[in-house]
Amino acid sequence: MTLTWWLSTIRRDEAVRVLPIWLVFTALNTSALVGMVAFRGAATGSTEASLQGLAMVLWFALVAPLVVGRFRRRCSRLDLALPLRSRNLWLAHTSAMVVAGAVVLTASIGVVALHSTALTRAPYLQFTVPGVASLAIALLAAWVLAAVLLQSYRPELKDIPGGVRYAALLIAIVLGVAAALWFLVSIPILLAIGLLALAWAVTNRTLRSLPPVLSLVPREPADHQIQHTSSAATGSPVTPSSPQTDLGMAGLVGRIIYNAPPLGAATSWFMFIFLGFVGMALSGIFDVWMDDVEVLRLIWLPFGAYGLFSLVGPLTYRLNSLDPLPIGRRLIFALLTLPALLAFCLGYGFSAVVKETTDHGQNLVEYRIEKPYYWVDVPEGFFEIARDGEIPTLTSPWGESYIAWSAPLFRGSPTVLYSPFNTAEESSADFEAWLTSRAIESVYGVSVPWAEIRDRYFEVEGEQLAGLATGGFTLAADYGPLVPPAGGPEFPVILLLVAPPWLLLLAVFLRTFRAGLGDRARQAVFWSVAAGLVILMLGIAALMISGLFSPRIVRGFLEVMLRQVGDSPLQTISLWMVSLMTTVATYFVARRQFLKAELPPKATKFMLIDWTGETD
Amino acid sequence: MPIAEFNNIHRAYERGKNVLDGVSFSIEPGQVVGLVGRNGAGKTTLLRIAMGMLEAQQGSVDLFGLDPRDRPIEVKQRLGYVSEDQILSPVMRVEAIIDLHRSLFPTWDEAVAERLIDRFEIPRRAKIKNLSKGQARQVALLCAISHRPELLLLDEPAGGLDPAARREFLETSIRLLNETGSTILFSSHYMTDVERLADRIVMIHDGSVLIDTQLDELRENYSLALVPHETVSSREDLLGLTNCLGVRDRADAFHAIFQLEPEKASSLLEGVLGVRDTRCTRIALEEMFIELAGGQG
Repeated sequence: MTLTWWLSTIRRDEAVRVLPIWLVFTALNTSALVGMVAFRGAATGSTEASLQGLAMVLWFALVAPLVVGRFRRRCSRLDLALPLRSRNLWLAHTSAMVVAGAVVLTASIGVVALHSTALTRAPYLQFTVPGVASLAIALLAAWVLAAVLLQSYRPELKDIPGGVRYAALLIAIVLGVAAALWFLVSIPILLAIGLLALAWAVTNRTLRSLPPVLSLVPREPADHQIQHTSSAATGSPVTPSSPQTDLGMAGLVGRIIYNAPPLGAATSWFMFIFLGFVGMALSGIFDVWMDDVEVLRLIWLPFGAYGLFSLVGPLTYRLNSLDPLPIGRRLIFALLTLPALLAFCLGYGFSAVVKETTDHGQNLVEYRIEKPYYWVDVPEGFFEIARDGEIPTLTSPWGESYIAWSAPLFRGSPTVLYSPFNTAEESSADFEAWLTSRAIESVYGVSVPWAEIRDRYFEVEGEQLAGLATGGFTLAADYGPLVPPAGGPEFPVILLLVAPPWLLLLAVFLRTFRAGLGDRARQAVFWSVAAGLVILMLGIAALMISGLFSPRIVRGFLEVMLRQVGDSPLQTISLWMVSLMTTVATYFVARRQFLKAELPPKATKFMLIDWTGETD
Repeated sequence: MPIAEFNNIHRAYERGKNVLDGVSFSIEPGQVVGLVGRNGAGKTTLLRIAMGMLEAQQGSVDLFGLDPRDRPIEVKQRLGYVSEDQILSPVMRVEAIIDLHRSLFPTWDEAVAERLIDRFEIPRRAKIKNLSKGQARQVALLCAISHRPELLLLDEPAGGLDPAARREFLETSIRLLNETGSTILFSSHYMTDVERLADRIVMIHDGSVLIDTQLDELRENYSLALVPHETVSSREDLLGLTNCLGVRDRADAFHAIFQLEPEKASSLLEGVLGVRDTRCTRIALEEMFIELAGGQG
């Protein structure tokens, strides 16, 4: 084979063709994961990310596309028709995987290097990422081994068969190599040599087992053929299946929609899990374990609509096979939309329950001392709002006062959020104790005399606070159990911000399934909406970075508002009603468009990457 | 009362380019109607409009007296439909597909389904993607006719099948449905199939119905006249004649199709244009299709 053939074959390999998307996907993954490592590091007080942690970040970001990617295709049908040896086809595909992985790994390391630079320079984080150059060799070797091992499964076939065995193999390879990286990453060169030696051995063994040509399908008969033959041979009567109930029929239709290409069962489940994860993120569950992640929560609001929207597009691909059947469009629309919404809601609900349980064990009122600063630390949700910007002065019964700390909702906004509990550096210990007492009462509804707080928790020099008493600020142990008040009705707001926008955008997309509008119009609308939501997400991030608003303040503002709403049953019911009725109304708007839709006989998959590769 | 009625159907996919441009005809119960026309003539579009899958931009369709766009469930429960590009879900097993259809059609006849499963030797546990193209089409046919539909719509149902499978497929469907007096509208490019199975032909050309006649009448009352070039000045002379449906300018002669018996066509040519001893013959459907729809090429 000439060099030209090798280059051309590698270039048109699926692994290389999906490289642009894979690069973006992995860069984002790496970026998010490194960000989380940094957040975690900042939260735990460590100043440097561990090499093992980085290895895991880079490894899992690199292999994530393997789960849904089209790496199972070793060659095209055309290749099979050409006078090419299976050995060359196998080597070309495996090489393409290695090359693509190397490119992606390089980009990932670039992302980490960028993060490293930014984090090292951030004075408030004081967090550094160790050099990753030494990791690169070990990771590349790990990737080579993973690619070879994966391709050693059923090497005689044109496509690696999917299914449970393949999934188990994939998981075993990913986790096995991850374990090797975890334990041996401190000796990267030796690790790389070991992994490459193993890869070489597996390659040799696989090449020896290859037949001269690859096969389209396995040599052994499929299960159904065996069964059919035996049934015919024995002449046993065939019992018809029992009639389906309406629910059973809906289940079968759901299987046609979700289990068939272009998504397929695995990707559909992955999407549901992902939407559940989005619901979890929007519930704020990650705040429990990591500080300062409100930023993710705000950004993920448009991402929720994006996730729901991007799922429905590919599902329209299979609908033309249902169209000739007497199945109501209302049922089909419900099957297209409700499972995704349910996954999102379940993710949110599950996390909300976990969060509620976890919150009970947390101290919401803390007294913090980071000299020269002292302050009562209370979640922003217990702050107050001044709509006209008039910030009150906090005045104790003995006349000591301080103007409350405040922050505008966004830059230039007259509405401000202020803390009714903060103090000045020069405030007296009594004033600190008095405000702490107010905070405890405000958060837990428990009245603790301020003098008791001063005597039990503070060390006082003269009139000033010198520090916390030796036992610390053990509020829960001393006055517990302290049950925080239930938060306001947050879910209807989240639902309102995610579901109606999604359904309205879906209605716009479904409006393009009409006579006179071609595939180009549908594609334009679908991708414009998807891109618009991603841009909105990035726009929110950009506004936060530019300092136009702070996610903590916005979140605090919403929580205060929701707490106020939650205090009134009537307002709570009204909020729920508005949220549900808006969602239902927009559902009907979108459904109306679906009822009128004409499903084109040649459907479009509406996917950036056709994971199933049905085209060959 | 007609079982299906198409009234002045217009449909375009691109503005200004009508695929169907005023198609009108009706089908009486028990008829087997062959719908023929060139690729892109609008046969599939017409059948999809009948199914309610596409909307006519002008005109109306009535099936069983109902509008398939307004009453899709009622209409589809009384219909059977098989198309060349109809894709049964590839990941489902045959038995699951049958279960689905059984639950959708109240008139599902288990005996018919069982008979067809045995006849076609369809493996119940097989997934559709593991079946051959012929077997998959047989499953589609089974699903389309086991509820004994009042009207069966077949859109190139045998396309891509080998001759034996094609004949088996069509004869099974026609015979089974004839037992219950079902009506069939099927499109096909195989004129031999149409001639063997249909009792009426509807030919669509240039967006409208060019021929709508009983097959027997077509055999009796249509003729092909081979008119030597030197006997007429132009093709338009022939097209101007009453009952002349089309003329092709071929190397040997003008090929003119008349809706007349051969003798009458010959007389007409002699009487009006003075062309004597023209060779006029009866015409097979395939010949007629080529002459009328084949263009001047």
